[in-house]
Amino acid sequence: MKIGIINAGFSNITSVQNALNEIDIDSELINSNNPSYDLIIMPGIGNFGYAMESMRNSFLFEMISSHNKNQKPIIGICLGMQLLFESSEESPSTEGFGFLNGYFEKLPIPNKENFIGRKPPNIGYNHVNFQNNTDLKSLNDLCNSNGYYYFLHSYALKNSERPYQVSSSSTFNGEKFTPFLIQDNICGIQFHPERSGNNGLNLLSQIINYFEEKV
Amino acid sequence: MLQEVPNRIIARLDIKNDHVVKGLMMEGVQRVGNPIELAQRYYHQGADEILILDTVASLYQRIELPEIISEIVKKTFIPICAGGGIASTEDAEKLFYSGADKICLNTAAVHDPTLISDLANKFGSQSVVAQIDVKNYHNEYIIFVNSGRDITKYKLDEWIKCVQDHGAGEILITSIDRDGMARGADYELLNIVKEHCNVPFIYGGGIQDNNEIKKLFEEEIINLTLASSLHYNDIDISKTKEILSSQGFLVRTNNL
Repeated sequence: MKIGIINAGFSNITSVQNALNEIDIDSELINSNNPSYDLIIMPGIGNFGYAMESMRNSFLFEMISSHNKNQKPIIGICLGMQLLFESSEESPSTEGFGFLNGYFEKLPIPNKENFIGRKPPNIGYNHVNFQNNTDLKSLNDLCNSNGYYYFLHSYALKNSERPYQVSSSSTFNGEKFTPFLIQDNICGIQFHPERSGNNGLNLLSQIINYFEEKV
Repeated sequence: MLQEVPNRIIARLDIKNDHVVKGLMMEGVQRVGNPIELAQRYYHQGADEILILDTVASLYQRIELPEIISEIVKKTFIPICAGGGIASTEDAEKLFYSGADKICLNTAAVHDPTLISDLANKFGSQSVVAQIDVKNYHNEYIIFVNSGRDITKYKLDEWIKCVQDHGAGEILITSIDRDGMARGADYELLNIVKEHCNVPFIYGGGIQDNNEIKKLFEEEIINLTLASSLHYNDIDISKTKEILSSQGFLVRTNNL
């Protein structure tokens, strides 16, 4: 499977590539509009509006859109996950790719009843519970990945009632959000698997195996 | 509500001329190993983060960490916080590009606190850590810079407020008096920190064994840096986490 990593200049792509090397998965950085990739990884840190605008101003918007149209797998990490949805409170006037319905909202500020209230952003390890909503056995191992993962974000998918094929939940100041999902060809990861130790590396390899078998 | 975030154990590497060094009260530094090897060793032990600080960078006004960091991140898959000598957004950029997830500001921020807000605006507060080296000086907690060599005009509470107002996302407190001494944390200092910090803070200095770690976690001081105790093998993070986890403390282990 040929894996390309979006090189949009606003993300820490090296750490994603290093993580893929560690689990013996070959990947390359995408530098031109090339339809030959089987799977695209879109990492991202930074601002929703800025990132989306710079995609629109390059070949990436077309390339990613047609990749999705062909039902080929896309993994969005952190801001990369957010861009796959419709919009974000961070940049209300900017439209995301909209491959999945939903929008990202600011994480809640602490309230006084909390044992340990946290001021957003969410920096650090949070617990993630995965849930397989299909009867696909090939997703069972992946959904056994409950554990701590490393987060660095201010906006989250909080309003999602939809039972994605794989869904998940975490909490920030007691409020639930969706830190991970798989639906058809899309995988969204709010946390950083490339920075979450063995848990993260195992999860990455499970996701890629799953898509590899599907392709 | 239950504690949402696990207690963190952060491995601290102080760098001088390509070597990891460790001193007592930030003085008389001794070489203790190779940064790339030690980062990997502590990663495999289950460290939650690596903190890597160039101890002489601000004296010589140079940044040598990027090369070391780009090697470390090839085999270390936890967050890396880097600092020492950062005096401009360009310096910070070099560290981010080499693979650091967060950067740590100290001396230059004391000379000009707007550096904190410049970096927070550019890279986000979550990526900017204010490093505060503090010493009990005539019964007052005073901020020191240049790896504990030079006194400043700031008292601890004033400086905490200032770095928070400028947008620091996290605060790293080191007790110079306890650094490398292995005789426990400075709880009097920590009381001031707890009272004034409204962003997450990390404490280091004097943490010598599992009992001390436990005591700090019980006091809700949940982010700790360890240096000497790791370098001299007094603490093995995997064993410490196993013990603490069995006693009900929330810690990240590789199979949890």
